[in-house]
Amino acid sequence: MSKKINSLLFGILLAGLLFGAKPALAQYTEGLIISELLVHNESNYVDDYGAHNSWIEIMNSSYTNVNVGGCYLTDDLSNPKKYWIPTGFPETALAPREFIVFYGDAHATRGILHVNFKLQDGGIVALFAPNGSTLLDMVKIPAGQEVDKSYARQGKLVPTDWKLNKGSKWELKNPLTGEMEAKERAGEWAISEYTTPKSDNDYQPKLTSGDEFVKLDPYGAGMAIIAMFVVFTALIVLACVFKAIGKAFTREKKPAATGDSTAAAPVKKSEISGEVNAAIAAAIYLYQNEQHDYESAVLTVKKITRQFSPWNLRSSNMPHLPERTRSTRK
Amino acid sequence: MGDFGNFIIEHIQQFLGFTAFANMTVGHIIMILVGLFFIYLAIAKEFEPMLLIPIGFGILVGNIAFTPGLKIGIYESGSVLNYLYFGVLQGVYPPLIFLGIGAMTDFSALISNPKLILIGAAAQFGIFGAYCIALALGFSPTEAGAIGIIGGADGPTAIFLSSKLAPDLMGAIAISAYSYMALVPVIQPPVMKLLTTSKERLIRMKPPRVVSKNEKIIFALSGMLLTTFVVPTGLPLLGMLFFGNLLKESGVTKRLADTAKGPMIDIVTILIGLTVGASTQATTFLTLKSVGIFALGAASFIIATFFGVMFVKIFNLFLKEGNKINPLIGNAGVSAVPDSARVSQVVGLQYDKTNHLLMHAMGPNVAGVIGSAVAAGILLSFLA
Repeated sequence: MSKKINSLLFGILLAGLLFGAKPALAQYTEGLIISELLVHNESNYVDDYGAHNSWIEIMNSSYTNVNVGGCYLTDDLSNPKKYWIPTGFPETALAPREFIVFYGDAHATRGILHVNFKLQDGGIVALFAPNGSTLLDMVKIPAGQEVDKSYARQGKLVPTDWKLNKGSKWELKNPLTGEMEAKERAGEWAISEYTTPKSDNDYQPKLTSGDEFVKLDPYGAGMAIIAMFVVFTALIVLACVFKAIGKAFTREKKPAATGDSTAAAPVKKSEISGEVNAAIAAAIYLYQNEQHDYESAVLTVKKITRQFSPWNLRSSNMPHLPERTRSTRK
Repeated sequence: MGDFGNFIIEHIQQFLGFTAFANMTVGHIIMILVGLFFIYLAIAKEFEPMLLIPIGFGILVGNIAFTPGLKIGIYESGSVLNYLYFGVLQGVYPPLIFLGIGAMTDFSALISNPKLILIGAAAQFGIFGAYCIALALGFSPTEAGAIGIIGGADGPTAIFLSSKLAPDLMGAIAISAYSYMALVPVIQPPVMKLLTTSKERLIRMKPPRVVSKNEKIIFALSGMLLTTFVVPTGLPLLGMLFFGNLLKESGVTKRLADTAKGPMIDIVTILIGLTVGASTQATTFLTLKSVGIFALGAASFIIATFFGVMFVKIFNLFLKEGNKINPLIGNAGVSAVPDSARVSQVVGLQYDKTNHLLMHAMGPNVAGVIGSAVAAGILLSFLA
């Protein structure tokens, strides 16, 4: 039996390693996405030198802190390590759902946020993981970008999985829905009327889930019905499972019916009352847990020995008063 | 000497400006009286002393008026109290308390009579009844959800949910939840007596069967899996509850179970009680909203008790004679463990000195803990 369990566990582990394993990416960088970019900047977002440059916005779409330091930005897929984002700088640490903007001005000497290439109409921008080979996100920039208008993801800001196909080209990972996803993704990117560097691309005022819920259910009756249905379902399932388990356990305890009359002899009921049983149980419990009152002193015949140590020598520990000594001059 | 005298007077005046007497408002005095009342209830009446003493003292601590900016107050970043309050704000303490509750709860009554679980579900109507009323009174959806959870009669769950949905109201909600939990012996009996007939109060229930260790272990595991699969948002509470229970029932982790149900839950109870109490600074706490929350809290407890008792009465219509449930345990569906079960016992004994309902009432009582955690998960999924 234990052999079977061991082989089952081993099988699960192996399957997990074979099918579930992903290349180890530092600090969950797979949550990083390119969320917005602007190619022709004339009077838009100003960099820290007061210049108008093209820019790329990267978002941490996960719900944990991620450091973008160590990743690579490139405009050339054959050179994925074109710009290495330096590590050890606080500005590259992104909180959950936070954004960072890099300037595409080909002036990498101006600081870590300035990359060594410029964005081009009809070009691409890609973000690679610190291993330099895993594509985290890629955007093909359509030709004819308008001045001061950004190209931004409009849909849900969620991470995407990319893989290299047989022709060594990057494509979305899921082969079954890849084409569909690609179409959806193409539709998700659009020229934005409003640029939103370092913030969510959806600038329209949004209702919270609670507000949306109450919009359709102003008196709470819907919530009460749904919630009580779920609570009852969860607890009914629990009750049914336990009824079944209880039955299975009580059936096990019943003696098997045999033709032997001696085996079926009725067991005489105990005449001890419930109170006595309770008292016995309490006594056993107290005995087993060694619970008793705390005594103020303990009488014992055990000999107590004290080792000598200068630390407990009273004469050494008493303060000495200064003594007057007379010097004898000869 | 004149200048020096002025200097002395000026600085004495400055010092007096720093004292609580100078900064005191009527609100602070009211809150200090509330804190003293809580301590009185805990010591003289023994109403939930483990909770009301830390909360009551916390109210005193939180309502000593001080000059802002000295990193003293619970709402001032960097103050010691603010650090301790972090566990409340981020919902750290409630799951730890649930771990301890799991380690000290014996689910035997529930396992031996699984239909009692349903009473724990019925009593959750209190939560959604209060939610509906709160919406009608003009509270926002998230506030209404956080207020409604008071009806679950579960302090840690109330704190956990309000920290996610309405952090601003957390102090009032926590105080309200714990106050009414302490007042369960006062609130519930009139409703129970009103809804039951003298014949129903005398119903004797079958003694629960002995539950094996294996059943208890399976309960902890399957209970966690079933409930969290339905409501994953309840995972922090339900996961810790059943984990604590597994520590207890497995029989091989006695040390861990002892720590969870002993020193750990004591430490967390002290921290949560004191900081929740201290969060009731008069300047932020004494508002009309707080008054509304208190009124809704009382309503939610009454609704929960009503539905718990009524559910048993209706349920009895479908049960055979001999299997019927005493409706006096319907109130125990609210998860104030073990106070509401104790109320069932006390009220039951008033009508039949030999009819002990405590063991039976513990079933719906612990089911109420699970039910309120599930309900909190649902509110979190819809409103967060």
